[in-house]
Amino acid sequence: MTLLENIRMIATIVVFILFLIGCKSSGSGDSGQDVITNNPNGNNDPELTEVSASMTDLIAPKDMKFISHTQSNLRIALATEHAAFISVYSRYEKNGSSYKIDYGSRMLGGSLQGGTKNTQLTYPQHLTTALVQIWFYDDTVPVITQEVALADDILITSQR
Amino acid sequence: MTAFEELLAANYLKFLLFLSLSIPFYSYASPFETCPSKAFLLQGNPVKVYGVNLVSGTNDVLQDDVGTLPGQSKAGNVNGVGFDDYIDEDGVNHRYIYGFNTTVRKFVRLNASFQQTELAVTNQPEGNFFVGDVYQHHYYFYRKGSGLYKINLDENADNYLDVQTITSTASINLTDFAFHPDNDQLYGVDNNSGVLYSFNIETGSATGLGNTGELGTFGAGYFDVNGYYYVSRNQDGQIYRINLSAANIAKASPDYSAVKFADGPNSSQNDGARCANAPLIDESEGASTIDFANAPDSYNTTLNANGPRHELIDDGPFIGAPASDGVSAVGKPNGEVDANLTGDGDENIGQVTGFVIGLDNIILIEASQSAFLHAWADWNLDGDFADSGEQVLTNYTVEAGTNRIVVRVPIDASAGSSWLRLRIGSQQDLEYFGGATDGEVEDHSIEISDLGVEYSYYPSKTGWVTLAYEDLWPIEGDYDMNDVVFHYRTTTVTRDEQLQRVDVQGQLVAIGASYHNGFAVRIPGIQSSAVDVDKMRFRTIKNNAASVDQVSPIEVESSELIAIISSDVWQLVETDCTYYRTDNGCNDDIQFEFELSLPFSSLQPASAIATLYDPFIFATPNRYHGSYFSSHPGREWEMHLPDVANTELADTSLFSGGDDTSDVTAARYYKNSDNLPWAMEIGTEWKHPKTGVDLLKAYPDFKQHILSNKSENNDWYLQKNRNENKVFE
Repeated sequence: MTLLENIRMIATIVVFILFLIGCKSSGSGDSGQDVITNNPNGNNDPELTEVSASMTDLIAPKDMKFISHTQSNLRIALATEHAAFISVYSRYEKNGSSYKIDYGSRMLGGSLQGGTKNTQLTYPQHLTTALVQIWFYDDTVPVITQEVALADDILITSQR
Repeated sequence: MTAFEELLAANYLKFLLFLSLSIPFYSYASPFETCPSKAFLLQGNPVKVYGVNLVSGTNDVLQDDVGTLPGQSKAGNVNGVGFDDYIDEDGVNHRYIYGFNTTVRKFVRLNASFQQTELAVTNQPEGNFFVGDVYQHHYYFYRKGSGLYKINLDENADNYLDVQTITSTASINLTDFAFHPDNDQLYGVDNNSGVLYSFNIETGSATGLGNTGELGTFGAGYFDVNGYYYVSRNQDGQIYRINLSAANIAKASPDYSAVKFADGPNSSQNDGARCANAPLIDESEGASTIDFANAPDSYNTTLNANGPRHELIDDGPFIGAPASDGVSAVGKPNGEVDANLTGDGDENIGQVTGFVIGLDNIILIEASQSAFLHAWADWNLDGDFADSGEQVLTNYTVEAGTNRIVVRVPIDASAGSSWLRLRIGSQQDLEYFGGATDGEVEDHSIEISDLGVEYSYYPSKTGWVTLAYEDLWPIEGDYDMNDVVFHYRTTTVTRDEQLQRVDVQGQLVAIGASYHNGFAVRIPGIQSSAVDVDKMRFRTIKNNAASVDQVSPIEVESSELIAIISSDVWQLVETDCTYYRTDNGCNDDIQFEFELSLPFSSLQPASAIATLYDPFIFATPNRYHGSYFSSHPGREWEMHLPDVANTELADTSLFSGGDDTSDVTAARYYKNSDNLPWAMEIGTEWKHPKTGVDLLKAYPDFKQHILSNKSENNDWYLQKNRNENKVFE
């Protein structure tokens, strides 16, 4: 190719790359979606499910509760007499064999004596798991940390 | 040559002359451009100039060579300095520092680069002068046994630089004095007696005001714009603050005790100057580089209360994991908290055993690096950290990462909500107040409890759910669910499965309505008389200012326990928009937050234990609330979550009117014939629809959630399931 042709080719490639970059960066981005839609509102946020219905079209069940909390029964049965403190957290990350806990996400905190407790855990309905942690005031007793599925009944037992 | 070149050549010499005169002239004589917030400390021989941040005590050398006077080979010591914050009638800036060179006994002026030039003073008294300050463009100086003098600094005055004697009587032992910024008084502390004196600058007579309680050579003194007087002690560099604010001076018996404020550099031959009109913290100089605490101000939190504060330096120690982002939620001088932040700092400490009375409790504290940790807890709930035994950690060495620290809660501690203050840094012996040169401070709310007490947090200790109300009831609204929107959370404290206390917190998120509504919380099944009013707390936070205690919110007209958070939520916010936070472009911040704590004098029955309790809105008295009503309905108009009963003050004759199908006999409330509500709870920090946008357009999954009676799509309200362009922000 001649020099001129080379230049034209490089220029075309550069423009093409710039076009691609320009396209990719449009859109709201926070849902990780890169699709451009022709949105009648004039922005590029993708509409996930266009719904023609409105609230006035609906008839709800008679006993429908417009709340978002639900409950589980939480039962602790530990084979120990040591006094302890139980916490249940909703925000945490598994880090190898341990957990990094957001202590501000505590949903329940309370002492237990004689290793037993029966209580209710109330939480927002969209949560599916929680982290239970039991610390003993006798620090020779190891901490119990257990992730639980949020079901109607939650049981925590141990051999210690 | 061209005509231009000729012009250039003709004026070349003039141009050179201008340059040669203007450049050195400018740099030699340049005054201070501003009234700076730093204090200037001059020490030693040859004198060095330090800039001292009075807030934190951090100091750095600004100039170690002030230049030499004519005929001298060394700079010498400069003392008795004062800052002249003077702009003349023509707007010409004359801001310089004036002082006395004690080595050659000459009066000098220092410019913005701290270069000294000699002043041709006439009638100079004999002796050396270490005490001086500037006021109204006059330099005042003093020597014990010699007198009080002044020099006019106005070049146009007949007596320019001619020393005037105010008095020859000078018996007070001063090493510095300073002018108050706005009461025309001159103040100084007698080093031998610790007594604070004021001086009449017309006659020179001294008046003893009171004892500061501190002795020592206070070589440097400074004022700030609020009238606080700071004195720096030569022997140890400690900076003390004396309250000479207008409010304190006006008292019948003002308290003039000197309180330790910060640590500064120490040496002999100290002297200080400061532009007294400057605030202690100058926002343009980087206020965000200092971290403040945020507990209520009874704990000495704000700058005014000499609260704890830390200069934030690169690679300084902080509370948090080593790999995390550094100091979380930097506090501001007025104890401000950011209403839009949740959980700030809470991730850094784990109160893993609570604070149970009489036991050794464990706290997990993350530290970024090895440093000293100090901690205080208010064990007796009296609102301060000053009591014996309340310092729980002193110079405790923490290591990088998680530190497991044992704290014994004293057996005589009081149960209830309290505060824990943590200060980390490289300095030892920090108090719960005062400045520090690195590290940070964090205040954490804690619960001191007896064994057997349980805490339920909904949705979590620092999380939020959302309450959304429509206010056209009993007429069906437009289902944009944003007429009144609150973030909301509760804490339920139980003991032996009975109710001991209920806490409620909330933020006003949006008002998408023109009607005026109040907001209240009822605790169903409990009488208002059950509340322990001495321990009850109601605080509000407005516009990110420090929380303010409010009077009791308990509604006296009701026998049931009802707390009126506000009678009119429109009074809680300011906006230029028609509605608050519901329209594009109306991006006001959240401006109002409240905290309510309702402890009971005796345990209440288990049947009263609930999750949300009963948050409701009501029509603001004496306000229009729609054409449906022939007169203003006021407090009798209520809107609760569906199937939650009205209070005793509601007008039940409104039931079944309009689109409402409430039926008290069937325990059915606030629903229409399609079983749709006018209020709902959403289990997250929710983004509400914009004005006039139907809920289903923003959250399409809600349709199936309703039709399946909540068995499907129970995460309909999460971010991943919403249409972003239909919700606010």
